[in-house]
Amino acid sequence: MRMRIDPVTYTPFHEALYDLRVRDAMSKNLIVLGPEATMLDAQIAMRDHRISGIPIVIDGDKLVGLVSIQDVIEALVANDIHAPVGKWMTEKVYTVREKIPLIQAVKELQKRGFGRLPVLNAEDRLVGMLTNNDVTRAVMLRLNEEARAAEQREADLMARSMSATQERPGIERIEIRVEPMDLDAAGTFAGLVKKAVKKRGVSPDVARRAAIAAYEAEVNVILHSMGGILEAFLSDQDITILSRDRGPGIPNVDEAMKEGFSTANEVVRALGFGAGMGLPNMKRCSDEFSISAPASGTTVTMKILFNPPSQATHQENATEEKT
Amino acid sequence: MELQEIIRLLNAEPLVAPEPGHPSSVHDVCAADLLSDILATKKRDFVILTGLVTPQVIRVAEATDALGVVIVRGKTPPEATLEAARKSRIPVWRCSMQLFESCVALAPLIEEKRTKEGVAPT
Ligand SMILES: Nc1ncnc2c1ncn2[C@@H]1O[C@H](COP(=O)(O)OP(=O)(O)OP(=O)(O)O)[C@@H](O)[C@H]1O
Ligand SMILES: [Mg+2]
Repeated sequence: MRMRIDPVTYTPFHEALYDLRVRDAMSKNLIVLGPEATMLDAQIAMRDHRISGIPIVIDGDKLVGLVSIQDVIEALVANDIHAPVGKWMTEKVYTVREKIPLIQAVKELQKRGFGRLPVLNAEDRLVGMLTNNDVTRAVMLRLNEEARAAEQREADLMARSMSATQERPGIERIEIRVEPMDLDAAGTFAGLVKKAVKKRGVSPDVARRAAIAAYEAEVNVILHSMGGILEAFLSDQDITILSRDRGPGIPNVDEAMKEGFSTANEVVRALGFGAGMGLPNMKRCSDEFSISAPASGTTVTMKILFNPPSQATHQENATEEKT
Repeated sequence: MELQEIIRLLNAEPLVAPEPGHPSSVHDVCAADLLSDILATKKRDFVILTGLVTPQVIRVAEATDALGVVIVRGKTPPEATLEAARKSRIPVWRCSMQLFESCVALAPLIEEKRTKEGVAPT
C-alpha cells in the first residue's frame, strides 16, 4: 500500500494515521530466532508463518539483527543455508519507537522501501513488528470504529428527540430524512410543515414563514451536505424546526449568513438555487434562530411563534426586491 | 391589478388554468430567476415571473402563497412541474418574452399600482 500525504486531500484516512501510534498498529505475536539458529531454520520459520523477515534477538528481546527473504536467498545461492543466522543477518537495522505517531513510521517505511520495521520500547527492547499490512489493518479498524460511533451518535440523537416527544404528549412531530442531491424530494418537508401549521389556524404570515424556513433548511441539507434529518415539533404556541446533517459543516458561519454568499456551482444555479439568500432568510423568518456547523455536521434550530407579539417586525426586516 | 390584465399584457397562454374561484386580482409581481429571491420577497398576493421550469418553482410558489406562475422565454416545463401545479392548485402560464421584456410589458401596471398607493416613481 502506498500513501502520499497531501494536505489538500486530507481525509479521515490521514486523520487516523495521525491519531494512531505505532504500538496500536504493530503485531505483537513475534516470531524470533537466536543468533545460533541456522539460515535453514529462518527459511522454515518464514514459510510456516508466512512472514518476510525475522528479528534475531539475544536475552529474549534484545534486537541484534534481521534476516529477510533476500538474506535467505543469498545464503542458498552461496550454498551456505546451514550457517548460523548471525553470519548472514543484516546487523544495521532501522527501528521505530512504539510511541511515535503511525504517520512517521509510514513515512519511514516508504522512504526506505522496507516491508517491515522492528518496534522498540523506551528500554530498547523489541516489542513488535510493523508492516504495511499492519498499518492498513489498523487504519481500517479505526475508520470502522469511527463510522460505528457516528452511527451510534445519530441513533442516540434520534432516540432522544423521539423520547422528548413521547415525554410531552402535546407535541406533534414531523420527520423527513434527506439524501444528498435528491432535488426531486426538495419541498416535501416544507409542504408537510405548512400543512401542519395551517391546520392549527395560524395567520397566513406565520404559515408562510414556517414554510419558507423549512424549505430553505431542507434545500441546504440536500445541496450542501452528505444527507441528514429534518424535524419539526409543533406545540400549541410554536413550531420548532430542527435540521441536522452529516457534514461537512460550514468553515465560516458568519460569512455564510451574509446575503449573497454561496458556494453553489453553475449547475445548481441553473436550477435556481445558489442566490446565497437561504440562511439569512431562515433567520429573518424565525423568532429564534441558531446555527452550529462543525465538520461533523450542521445543526440549524428555528422557532416560530404562532402568535408573534408584533407581526410587523418580520416584514420590516424583509429584503427589497432586487429586480 | 387584475390577473387577466397581466396575462393579456404578457400575451401568455395557460398551461394549468386557474380553478373557478381563484383570486382574480393580485397585488404584485415578483420577477426572479433564483428561487431564494422569490422566497425572500416581502410581497403578498403576487404572481411569479421566472425562467425556471422545475417542480421546485411550484414548491416555492406554494410556500410563499403565490397566486400563479408565468414562465418566460417560451420554455416548456416538464410534466412533473405541471402535475405539481395541478395538485397544489397553482395556475401556470407561458409567455415568449425574456424576463426583462416581460417586466417592461407590465410597466403600465406598476405605474398604476404606484399611483394607487401614493408612492412617487423613483
Ligand atoms: N447544511 C449545510 N452544510 C454545509 N454547508 C452549508 C449548509 N447550509 C449552508 N451551507 C453553506 O452556506 C452557504 C450559504 O447558504 P445559503 O442557504 O444562505 O445560500 P445557498 O444555499 O448557497 O443559496 P440559496 O439558499 O440562496 O439557494 C452555502 O452556499 C453553503 O456553502
Ligand atoms: Mg440555501
